[in-house]
Amino acid sequence: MSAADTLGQLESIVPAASQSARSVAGFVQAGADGWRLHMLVDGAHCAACIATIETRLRRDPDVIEARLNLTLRRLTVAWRGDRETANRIAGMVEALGYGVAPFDPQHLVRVDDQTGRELLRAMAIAGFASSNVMMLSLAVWAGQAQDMPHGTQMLFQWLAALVTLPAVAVAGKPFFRSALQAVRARRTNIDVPIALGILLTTSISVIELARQGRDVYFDSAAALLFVLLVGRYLDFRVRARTRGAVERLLMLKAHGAAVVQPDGRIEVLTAEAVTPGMIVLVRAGERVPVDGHVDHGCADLEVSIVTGESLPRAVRPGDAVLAGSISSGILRVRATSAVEDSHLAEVVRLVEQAELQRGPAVTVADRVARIWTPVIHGIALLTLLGWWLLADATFATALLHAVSVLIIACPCAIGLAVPAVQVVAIGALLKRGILVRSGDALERLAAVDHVAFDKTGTLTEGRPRIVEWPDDPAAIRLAASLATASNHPAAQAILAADPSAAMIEGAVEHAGLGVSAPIAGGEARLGRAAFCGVAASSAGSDSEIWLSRPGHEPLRFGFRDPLRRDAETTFSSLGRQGFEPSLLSGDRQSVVNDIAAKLKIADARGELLPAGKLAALHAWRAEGRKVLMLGDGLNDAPGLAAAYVSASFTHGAPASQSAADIVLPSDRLGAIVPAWRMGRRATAIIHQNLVLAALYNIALIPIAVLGLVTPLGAAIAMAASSLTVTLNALRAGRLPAEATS
Amino acid sequence: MMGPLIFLVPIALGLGALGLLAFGWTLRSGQYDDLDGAAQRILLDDDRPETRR
Repeated sequence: MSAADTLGQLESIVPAASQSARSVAGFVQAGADGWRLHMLVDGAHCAACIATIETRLRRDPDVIEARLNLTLRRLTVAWRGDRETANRIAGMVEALGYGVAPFDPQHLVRVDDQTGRELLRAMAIAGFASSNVMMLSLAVWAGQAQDMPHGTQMLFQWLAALVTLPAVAVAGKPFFRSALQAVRARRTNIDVPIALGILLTTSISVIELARQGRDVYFDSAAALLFVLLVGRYLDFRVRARTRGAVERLLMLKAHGAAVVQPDGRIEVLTAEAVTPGMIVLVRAGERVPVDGHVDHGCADLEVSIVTGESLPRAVRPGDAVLAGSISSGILRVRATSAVEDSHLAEVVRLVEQAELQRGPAVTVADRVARIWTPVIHGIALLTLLGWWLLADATFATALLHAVSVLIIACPCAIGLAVPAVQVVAIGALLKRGILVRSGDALERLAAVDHVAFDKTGTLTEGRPRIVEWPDDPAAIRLAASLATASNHPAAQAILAADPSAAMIEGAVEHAGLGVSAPIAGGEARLGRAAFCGVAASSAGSDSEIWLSRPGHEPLRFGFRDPLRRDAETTFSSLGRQGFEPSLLSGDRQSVVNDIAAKLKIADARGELLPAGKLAALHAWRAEGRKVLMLGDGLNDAPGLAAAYVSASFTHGAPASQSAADIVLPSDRLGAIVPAWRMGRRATAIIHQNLVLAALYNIALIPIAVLGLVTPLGAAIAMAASSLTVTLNALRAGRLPAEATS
Repeated sequence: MMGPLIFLVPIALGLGALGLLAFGWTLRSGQYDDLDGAAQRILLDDDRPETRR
């Protein structure tokens, strides 16, 4: 059967109206007074976009509410009447030129919203408390220098307690909770000394207040809480922002599956809702949503993103197709497995396994806390014993001095030192289109000692291009005209050379073979060697197509998946830094060797399955090497998850993006170099900051041990150290030019 | 000296607490959910109030 017939048959089962906007009714939810649809809008980024979309929707008489959230690029529409109006609404937005992807808000992680609000609320409370308590404390300190009556001083201190105690109880929750979890799991993290510091400062102040003593530190407790919450909130904002961006990428790619219902209607379901046996329609240029067998139709599948093979694979009825491949023609696919049994799910399982083995990352701040906590507590204990036993002080005085050591040494600036740098560095990378998904990814990037690349789509462009042309403009023109009849990637590449080529009347595509068309004097054919009646050349039939014409010798077009333009510069700049990259590819060994020779890669491995890439990374880990892995395919995802740190691309498979720590801009391999340099710089500044913060503490601890610290001194030291680390962190935003030596 | 302080200090604290409550209200009513959108919406020359029909 010819492709044209197939096309005709399939078109006839697709109602004409639903061609542009297919049914999104599966995503509609029942609201309080009508229906509600959530959509992700691609391309909305300014005030004009908000106005265009909202005004257009509100003009519709059925629509009750339309609101676009520009931060999350989410559009919520509510309307009365018919459920099917959803299709019209999606169509309206698409007609304005924006891409839409409906989604179910239940599937999104809601944690972010709640955590963000809790932190913001805690920060507001701590901010209120610290400013008001500081006002009261300043009055007391001024009063001590002059002659404020003792009663007035005590009143102010009691008011300070009245503000601080509830504020600590409410705003300190995030730290207390995290510290409690760590202690229960018999670990220690940065929150343990923080929570302890806050609690000790507050309780010693209450005791001193009751004893009418001098050492009341309510202002320190409130300010400490406020500064730490600022650091925590900054950290949260960065992660929520990049996570939101990655989530958007993933959702725009999950287009859902067009399922053909028994009554002939086509309904879009989420891929998860497809069960074995369902018939799914895949149009030209679309991704296959589920694993299955071709029920009807022939097409060439681009599988590069799924398996790493660079050349398309021809399928006909009965052949198996994998979810994620891109079809060149219309296919009807019978789903063979539900999503949880699919090839994709298998990869996801491997990813989870790899993540489990990698274990949770230990951040610099936690490592510092592990050393800092026992040292400081040791010094505090010595101070207590020293004053009590050696200096003959009362136990109460000795305890007070010991606690003042803990207060002075509370890792306030350390809590701010790391997130402040990460916020600045990740924000600067975000401006270049590089998404860093977690703060500690930068730390890990800086420690990398080996780099592994995927080939297809990472080092190469991921789609074939014609690299050998016949020396005959008329023939190229004829080939381009024939190519208009096909969606095959190689045909598209020929067409790109002469986009104005006119389609030839009567051109017919023979799936998996080529295109034929009647011309003056006989039939012209464009396609595989056998189809054009010639023997394949030594290069192999998969990397060439032929043109045969009556009265002429057949002509050869060689095609290949070419290297990215920035691949060589990236390799030379990695080489200058002393890296000797490896290549891990799912493609055939001959193709891999070819690329390896061009880039002078010594360690190039081909024909690897996802588990093979995973094994390679495990082997490196066992040797103690810290590997940066770059890949964009579904087959790379387990390797990305197992790597010490990993990067995917905006054009990559969704699974690879969610497994990677960093997402580089589409088609820009070279972006890994500035990302790596930024990681090095940020880590250097983090270390500086930790040293600076520690210096303040180390300078003040002897004074505290001697019992000479006053509340005013503690407040000044804390403000100065926080300011120092924050100002130093701002330097992380500039990226120095690459050293060329 | 104590006289004015007795009511001035509570007033100062009360005003601060009022600000805190107002912030809590803005937080709960979702005014920080779309900061980028809020920055752009100010440019919209739309005089009609945004009411549900």
